[in-house]
Amino acid sequence: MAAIGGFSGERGLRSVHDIGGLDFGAVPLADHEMADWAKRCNGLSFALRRKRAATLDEQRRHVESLGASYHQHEYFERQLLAWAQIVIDRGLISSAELGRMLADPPVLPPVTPLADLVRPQDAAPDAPPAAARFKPGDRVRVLKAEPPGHVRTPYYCRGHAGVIERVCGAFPNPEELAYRRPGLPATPLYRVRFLSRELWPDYAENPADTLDIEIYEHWLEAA
Amino acid sequence: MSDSSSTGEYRRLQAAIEELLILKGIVAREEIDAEIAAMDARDHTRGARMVARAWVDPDYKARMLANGRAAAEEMGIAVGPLHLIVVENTPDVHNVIVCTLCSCYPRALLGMPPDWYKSAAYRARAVREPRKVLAEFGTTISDGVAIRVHDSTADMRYMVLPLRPAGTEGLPEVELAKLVNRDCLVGTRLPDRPAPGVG
Repeated sequence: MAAIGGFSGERGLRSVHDIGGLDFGAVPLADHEMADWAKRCNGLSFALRRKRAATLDEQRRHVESLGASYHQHEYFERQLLAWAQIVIDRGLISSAELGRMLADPPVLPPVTPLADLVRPQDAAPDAPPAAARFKPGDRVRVLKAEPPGHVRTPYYCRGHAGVIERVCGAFPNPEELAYRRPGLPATPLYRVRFLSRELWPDYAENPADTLDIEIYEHWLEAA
Repeated sequence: MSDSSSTGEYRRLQAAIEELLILKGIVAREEIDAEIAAMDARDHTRGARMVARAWVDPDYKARMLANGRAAAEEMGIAVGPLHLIVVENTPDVHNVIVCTLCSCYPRALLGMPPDWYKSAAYRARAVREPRKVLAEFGTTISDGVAIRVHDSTADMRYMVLPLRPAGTEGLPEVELAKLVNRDCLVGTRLPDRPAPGVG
């Protein structure tokens, strides 16, 4: 693992997964076949999310909670470790059951049947989405905040001003979905366009280069 | 990471979770198998078909840029609830897709992302020095072209509509689609050039 070197001095309180703008060396271009367990892990993730047994943001939150070991794991290793936490957190499997199944030799546990799959509260009744406060062309600034928890606003754009490129619609708030709450009413989501040279003081490429990113309304203020 | 003993641990953990969820009736093996089969059936050739159609049909291109999902479905490509934004390369603008926070990718359309897309190096650097990153793919974007990086971190997913390569004027749509490689749909490469003597 390459040290975080070239773009030093801005780790701050950013989470371990929030790496935009850091230096991790050359891009590894070799591609590998997915391991069979990784395919099954991915299939299981899709099947469980389709059943609303958990949300993608819960999965992401648990991945982000790996802390310092995050970068020691590959993508599907992180995903699997997240699901091990989710099934326990949701009460789908107890850690004791998981422990017996992982014992050598495995002890098929007397499973506790679930009366019904406990639906997450994200199946809550629809609430009308909030009306969008900004329109395309509006100049906005991303809040410069460092909240703990699961957020989808990368560190590198916080505090910077850009222009609304479009309104994407309204979506349940991922900061709530990650903690098994409904995230309603749906939050307006925007694409905000920044000049790259304003995001990065030492930006060395074309001054006309831009970066577009989706930002939820509660992270924006008029600029 | 990838040594055999720890790979075995991940395999055992995955199997244990899967077996228990099936024993409890939370998910069926067939449902997992169906998801795997569906993902195996998705690859970049589905996006390539859309691109080739857009290259030969300006009306389709306009519909694709207005609503990516509807344009996929119009070609018989099922993408579920995907919110797809197609971004168009022009002589003045080159688009590049990244997800700095995890690895968001239009899987419902293109299948699983390549390893490099999930790498920390790509995620971290594409937003800050895109030309240097593209150079590692052997891709040179001239200084006069603006690069537009899209950090795909929320509910939208993105696909690049690349520029049609020169020298392809006579090629039929099905041949054009073969020039559309996976990476040009992410913006890290350009479409392939037609073989000499074709078109």
